[in-house]
Amino acid sequence: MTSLLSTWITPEYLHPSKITSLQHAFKTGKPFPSLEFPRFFHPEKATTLLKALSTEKFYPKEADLFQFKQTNDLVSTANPVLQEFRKFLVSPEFVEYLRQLTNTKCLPGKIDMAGTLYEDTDFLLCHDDQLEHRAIAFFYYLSDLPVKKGGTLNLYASEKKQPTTVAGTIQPKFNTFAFFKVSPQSFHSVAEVLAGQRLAISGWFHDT
Amino acid sequence: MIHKAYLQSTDKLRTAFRSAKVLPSLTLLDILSPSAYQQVCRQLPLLSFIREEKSLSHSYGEAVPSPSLNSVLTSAELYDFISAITGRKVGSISWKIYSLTWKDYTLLHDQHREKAGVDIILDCSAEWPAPAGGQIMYTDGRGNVFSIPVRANALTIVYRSRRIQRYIQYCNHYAQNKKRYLVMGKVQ
Repeated sequence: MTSLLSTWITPEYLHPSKITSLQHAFKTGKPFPSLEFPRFFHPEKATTLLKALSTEKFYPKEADLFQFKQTNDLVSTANPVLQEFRKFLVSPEFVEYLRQLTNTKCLPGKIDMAGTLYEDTDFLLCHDDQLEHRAIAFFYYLSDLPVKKGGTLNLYASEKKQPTTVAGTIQPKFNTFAFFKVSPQSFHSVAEVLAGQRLAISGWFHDT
Repeated sequence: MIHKAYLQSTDKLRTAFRSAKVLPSLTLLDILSPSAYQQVCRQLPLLSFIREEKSLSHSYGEAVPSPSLNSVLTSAELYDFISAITGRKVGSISWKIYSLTWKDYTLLHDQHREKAGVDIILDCSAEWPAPAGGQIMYTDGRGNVFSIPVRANALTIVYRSRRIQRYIQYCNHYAQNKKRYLVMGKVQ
């Protein structure tokens, strides 16, 4: 594995045997291909990113489907730490790493990403994320939220292109990187936050 | 049944109703006399609500009016009043009762756009906590959103053009175990 990857990612996720097992885990993921990597980046990177994101301005977003706060796309951030993080995620090395895990070809250099903040009563109702060119959706959590405080990412089983029941969950945990393949079956929601903060950097890798 | 002051000023109310260009609408507070409102409120929890849940479109309880509730909702006084305000003879109104609680909502849907028409909303949410959400929202799809205030014993009349669609904002955890009852009619 290249030195760029090891600069950011902890060794356990770069070991060839681990990658093989993760490929299988992703492919067979239920209710749809997804993975969750606790302690993914080096702790000092995570801490620095948290500090950097905390200085960004978050804007309230509200519609029938959601209520939360979001930064502008981080392509326009002036913060060098966030710029560096974005540069890493869109690097050919990381995109290739993602391809190995997901068998999904994403374009280096192409990504939508923003900081998101969910606080008391914020939510995101069930949807599939499908929009032209979106290939992989990702979430990098920068806060911990226990189940009783909400903010869980719910993944839905589906039948006849309709979500049925919650068949998988991912709870926000500091320095956890999670992602799933965007498809007509990738129904998911974020449970209402009942207390505390759910801070993350999230977005999509594109296939064209 | 309807507050006298409103019955005596239908011309002014009609003008007010029509004055809004994008969303002709009117909300009338304390619309029913206290006794008539109490009569309606007493009956709502007794109705047979059926839970309707489809993650991609809605979550709520729905019921049809009981015969005694129908006697209020189909009264000549109410029909004449709505006709006077909207300026069109109301032939019939199809009524449904909605019961909302924590985690309920409705979503907009491009594929299921409602036909243009007049909505009648009688709000019976006496115990609903203000921070709990559940507001009725109208949007024109161009960034304009109109919120109908949550007020017990308020009647809202809305003319919804083809491009205006309606949704009910997500009801959050401040609802606790409280219920928000909405009597909603569509003028046929």
